[in-house]
Amino acid sequence: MRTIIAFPSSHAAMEAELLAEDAGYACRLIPLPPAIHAGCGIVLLCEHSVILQVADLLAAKRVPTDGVYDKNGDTWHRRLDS
Amino acid sequence: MTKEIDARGMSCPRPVLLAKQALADAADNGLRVLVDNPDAAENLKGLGTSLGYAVQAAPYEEKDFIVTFSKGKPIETVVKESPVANDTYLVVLQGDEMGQGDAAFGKKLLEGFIYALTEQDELPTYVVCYNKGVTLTTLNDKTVADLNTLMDKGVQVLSCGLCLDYYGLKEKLRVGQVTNMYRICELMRSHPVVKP
Repeated sequence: MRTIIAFPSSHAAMEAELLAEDAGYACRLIPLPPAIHAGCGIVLLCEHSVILQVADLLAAKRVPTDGVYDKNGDTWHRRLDS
Repeated sequence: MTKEIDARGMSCPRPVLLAKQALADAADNGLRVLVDNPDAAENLKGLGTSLGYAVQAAPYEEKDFIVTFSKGKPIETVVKESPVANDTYLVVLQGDEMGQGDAAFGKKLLEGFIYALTEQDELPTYVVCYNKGVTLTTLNDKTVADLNTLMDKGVQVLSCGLCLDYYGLKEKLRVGQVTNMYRICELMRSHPVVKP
């Protein structure tokens, strides 16, 4: 399963990738999947097993996020608590 | 009689240049070329295949290679049969950034482009990297992973040998093969080119 974290800005996304990498998490920026939003953007793709830790890390560092999404088949679902 | 060229000790792209000229002069009789490194052998194989020859490269003596071109289609015929291919395309990666502007942002854009390329319905036939674009096949873990994904799907990934050498990355190539400027030139004139 693929899991991503979305952001309100590209600057926040780039900051998030640096923080996640520095903390040793296997994450990378990818283009915003069109199925989530038709606009431009970049999101942080993470291993499903570490997504909560990464989200906590970003919250602690006050990096603004715009939802966590899981991909099941061809469909992305936003987590209700994100 | 099959012509022979001893191109050992010659640097890229001279062996390819000599072979191309020899094939043009004596296309029917075949050709054997001796070279002293595997990259030159691969480049000669690429040349022969592109010109319609059956090509074999084999070890020769201790560390050299002999590349044999067998009779195939004459060069003129191949040229006539090789118009610009419309059902495929070539992606050229000429640097480690996409567009001009903030360098860090440009690198992220290019990584994103290569990731998006892996998810296209229509994949390129070739991805060619030159100048600082060769860092994408050597140093960048993310693009190396994505380019490997493309190779798994049948895309050929090529890096300019001269560029790898210039940036001191020749021993660090992690995906695809080394190529030369003649092959790059031929691919770019015979395919629609996408440059991010």
